[in-house]
Amino acid sequence: MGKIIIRRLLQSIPVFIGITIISFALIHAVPGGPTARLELDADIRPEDIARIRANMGLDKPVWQQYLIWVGNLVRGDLGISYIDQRPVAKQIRERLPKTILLTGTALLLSIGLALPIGVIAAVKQYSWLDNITTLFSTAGISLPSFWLGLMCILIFAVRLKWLPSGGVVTIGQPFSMPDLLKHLIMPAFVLATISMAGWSRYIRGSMLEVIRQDYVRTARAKGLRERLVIVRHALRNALIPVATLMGLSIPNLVGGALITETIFSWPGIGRLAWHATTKRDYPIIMGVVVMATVVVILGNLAADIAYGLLDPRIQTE
Amino acid sequence: MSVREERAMAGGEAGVGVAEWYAVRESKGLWWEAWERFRRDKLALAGGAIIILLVVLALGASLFSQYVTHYAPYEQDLRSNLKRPGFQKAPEEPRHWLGTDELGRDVLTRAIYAARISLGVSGATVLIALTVGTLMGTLSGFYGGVLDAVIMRFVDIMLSIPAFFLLLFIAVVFSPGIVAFSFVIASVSWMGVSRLVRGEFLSIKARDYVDAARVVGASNARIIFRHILPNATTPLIVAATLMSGNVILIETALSYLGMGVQPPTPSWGNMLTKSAQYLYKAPFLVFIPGFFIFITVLAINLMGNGLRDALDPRLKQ
Repeated sequence: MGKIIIRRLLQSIPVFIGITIISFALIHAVPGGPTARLELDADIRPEDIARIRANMGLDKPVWQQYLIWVGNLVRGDLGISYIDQRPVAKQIRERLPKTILLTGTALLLSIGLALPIGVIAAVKQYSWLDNITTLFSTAGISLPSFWLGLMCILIFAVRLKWLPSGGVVTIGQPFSMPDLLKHLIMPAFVLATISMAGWSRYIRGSMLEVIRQDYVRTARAKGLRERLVIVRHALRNALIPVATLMGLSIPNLVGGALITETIFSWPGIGRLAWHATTKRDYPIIMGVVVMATVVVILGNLAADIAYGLLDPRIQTE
Repeated sequence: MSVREERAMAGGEAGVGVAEWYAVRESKGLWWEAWERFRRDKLALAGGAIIILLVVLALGASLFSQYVTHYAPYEQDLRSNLKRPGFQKAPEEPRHWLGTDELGRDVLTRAIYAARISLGVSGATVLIALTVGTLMGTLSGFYGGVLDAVIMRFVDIMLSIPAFFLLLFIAVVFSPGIVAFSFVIASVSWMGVSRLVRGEFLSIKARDYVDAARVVGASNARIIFRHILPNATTPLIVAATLMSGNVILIETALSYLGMGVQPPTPSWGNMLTKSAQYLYKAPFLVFIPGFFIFITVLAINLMGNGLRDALDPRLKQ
């Protein structure tokens, strides 16, 4: 197992390098730059703009800038943001856990709710429960996430005043868990609702396919309690494609909450990358690309390992 | 023995009389039967009706706005935050059935024009994605070999890029106009279509009637267009319908972030951008555009579900 992991990691290195090269080239090929707005201002002398660009290292050829960046990266230095002069690594370190907290909670919530809903809907197919759940899940995937977020803020923060409308913690107060939870629950709920709708349909479909298989009939014929048949035999197999999908949605853990973060003023990676892209803050963009690539590669590796453990038919090569 | 006698004997063995055999075998055709099945799904019918209504409204938007008197970029600061009831004042005062936004523009008129934009972008995108996807899928599925491998690899690479970020990046960098916007969204949506078409080709290519057609001397083009593609239309219709719902969600999300349709051109998304500030004073400004999005996409999804069940009853187990 260890050998396989090392081999996969080594195989990922050229992918990683390729992605950094492509990203670097892309963001530098794009018109405009961090000084684009300055150039429009008539009061600033061109010599000053040139000096600013030289400070940022933008006067060198692109390939040279890339090599400099790589050299710094190897030493663990991700650079300094153009916008607020703070180290990139520090900003990412501050924001990444907050995003993971949000998306992780949402993921747990959505799968945790979607599993029982999907399974029950499949087991009791065509019952009123099934019809209601199908309707709700269709509605769920039709909801625009920004609208749901704004509506929740309207209802729970503005009208009922139960929950705060944004941010991670209440400013000025010492940290407390209930406070964090109160801030977390709305954005997590918004994220979770929409993905739960999708997951429950998928789980239902997967369960329906599995229930018709012969081995389920065998289990029933053996006289097992229905509950055991469903959970021990049908569900385990139905979860395999679900696990694959979960692996595919690992990138969403990092970046999938951009809109929600914007609405709820959640200081996460999504918003950081978004602002950096609009303002052409190259060091931050590259820093986020590096982090995201690492997360995705590791995540895919973990998903493959888990998949191999789940399905004994699969042999890791 | 005549055909009729053979069938009578076969029917007799199956317990079906001659008259019943012919009645069972008599089919009114694929589309008519599908329509009958579709008709039975009340929700799908409702969805279809809503979509038709919206399309009619969108096409007649300028007529509608004359009737309501205002078009979008109309500023009347006096009446920022009205709601549904018309003014108490005399009939020379214009009535704002859904209120006005922060610049005094009539919300209802803007919403209908926004319907035109959203439905238009959605339709154009789906058309482009269908065309490109079918082309790719046909090339890949029919010719196979290296072409297939290359195209599928390309599809995989495109699929592995998180679509929303690619779209955001392109939108931030290039600020496309509406037509280009459709192309941009289509560029991340064609992959599913191509896989679908390729799958159809692979499964049908091996059938006997294709071999028979070849033996008779049918050209490649004839086989593709007369035999294989028509069988792909039903899943394509369903996929196209569901895709158009997603495209509306994407377009409104990008417009909400300010990266899609630019104001003053109304889109349901950018009607929500500024309205978040007015959550306290004028919550209807937040509710109405989002509600339009929700209802439209819900109607599309319900209709798509109904189409799927109607066109291929095997799928509804």
